[in-house]
Amino acid sequence: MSPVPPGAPPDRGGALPTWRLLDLGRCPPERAQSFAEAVAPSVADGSVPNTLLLARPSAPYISLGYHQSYAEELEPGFLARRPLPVLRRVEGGGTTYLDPDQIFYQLVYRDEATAAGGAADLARVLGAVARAARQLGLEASVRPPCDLVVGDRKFSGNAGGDWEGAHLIVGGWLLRADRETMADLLRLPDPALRPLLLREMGRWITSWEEETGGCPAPEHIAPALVEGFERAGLFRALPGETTEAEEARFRDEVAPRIETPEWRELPPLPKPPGPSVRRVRVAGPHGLWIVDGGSDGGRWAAVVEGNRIQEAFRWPEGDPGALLLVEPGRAEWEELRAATARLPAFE
Amino acid sequence: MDPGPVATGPACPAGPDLWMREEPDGSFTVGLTREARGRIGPVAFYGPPTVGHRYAAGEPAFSIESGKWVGHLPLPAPGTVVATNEPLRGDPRPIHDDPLGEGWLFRMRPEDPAGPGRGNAPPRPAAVP
Repeated sequence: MSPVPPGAPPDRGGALPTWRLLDLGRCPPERAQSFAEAVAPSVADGSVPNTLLLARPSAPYISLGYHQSYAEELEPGFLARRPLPVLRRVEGGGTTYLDPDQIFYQLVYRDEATAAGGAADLARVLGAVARAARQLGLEASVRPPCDLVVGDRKFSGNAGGDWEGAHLIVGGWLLRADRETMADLLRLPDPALRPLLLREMGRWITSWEEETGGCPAPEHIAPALVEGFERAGLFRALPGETTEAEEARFRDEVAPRIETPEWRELPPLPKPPGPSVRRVRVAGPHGLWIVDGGSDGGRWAAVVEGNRIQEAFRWPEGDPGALLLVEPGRAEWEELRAATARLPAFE
Repeated sequence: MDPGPVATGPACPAGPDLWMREEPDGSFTVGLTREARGRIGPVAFYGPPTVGHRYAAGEPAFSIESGKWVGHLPLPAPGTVVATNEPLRGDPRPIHDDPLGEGWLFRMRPEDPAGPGRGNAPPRPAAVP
């Protein structure tokens, strides 16, 4: 049986469970990104209630998904020009650019906090977050498994994981979207691909400002999120404080770990046999495949939805800085389809 | 939770997410169950445990990512990892396509020589979504 968290109200039948609300406000990237990792052990051992954290980073940084490769994901030239902090998170998903024009919500909770568990929790959580966004004037809806969108365009990415005995769900809202920086920081095998990536980001990524002409005031966001979770029947969040144990864990364990090269720069994963493929997710099912078939194969770029090729390009001989459109049905198109037949789809 | 009898030959459940099979040398092969596979969907990444490392009960040892959820999972019982299925790091599809065969995850020697099914720490339930 799990211990009763301090401050938890007595069981009142159908009453919502009470969570702790930690509003970290505007804070350094390391704290905004990773303080939840220091909270997780305390939530897991029951010394604090399940917790909703809110934060805004005070400076730009890059976040890698737990399994992402530093070397494969990030453009060295960008990092030389803009040496932003690179923080690997313990949750899933891809490489993201974060800056002060974004707001984060992070849920840290024990097994018994929800009926579903794991990724199934994402759907309930995202439903509540979408409700909060609508209350603030944005026509938001959930695109499973992890996005919040306006129409087809994403303004919120989300991911989850299990860490130190607790579950974590993290997400954020794009109040403004710096797509140029998002496109610049991702490693691409040819500069000709960057305009294509930027075009796709323009098609599939949006922000509060673009959709509504403004951004909600920070002081209105926290109450809307809290109400969203409550009205979705998940929990009631009451303001609380960090504990000494959490602060010490963040200072002595989490912050030093995330700054080590061993944690940040995990080596690239081994490659399966066959064509070399760089997969760049733009948003949800939309992304790019860059396929290099080696000395005997061709080299292509494809705009992809799920695992369906929408557009295909090849490099003209002698002009590596350009791309040529390949018409559907041509032999090159079929070659590309064959080379990518077993690639996993973007979800 | 009792993960059931010690496996000899066929794969036996080791909690809701993992199966295990005793090998002739006394080690145990561990993989993801078909049920877990169906629940989590296609696996995007597999981060194997460290060969030669001794993992305590409940200590996160390996990771599996699907649908942007990363499960950091413990071994089915305390013990030492003796081998991992390295090709899965680059191509995790066999975890989904052939979870009882080519999709095995790692081999371990449990601390308790009676095997993972004899009263060691139970696997954490619902660790894989």
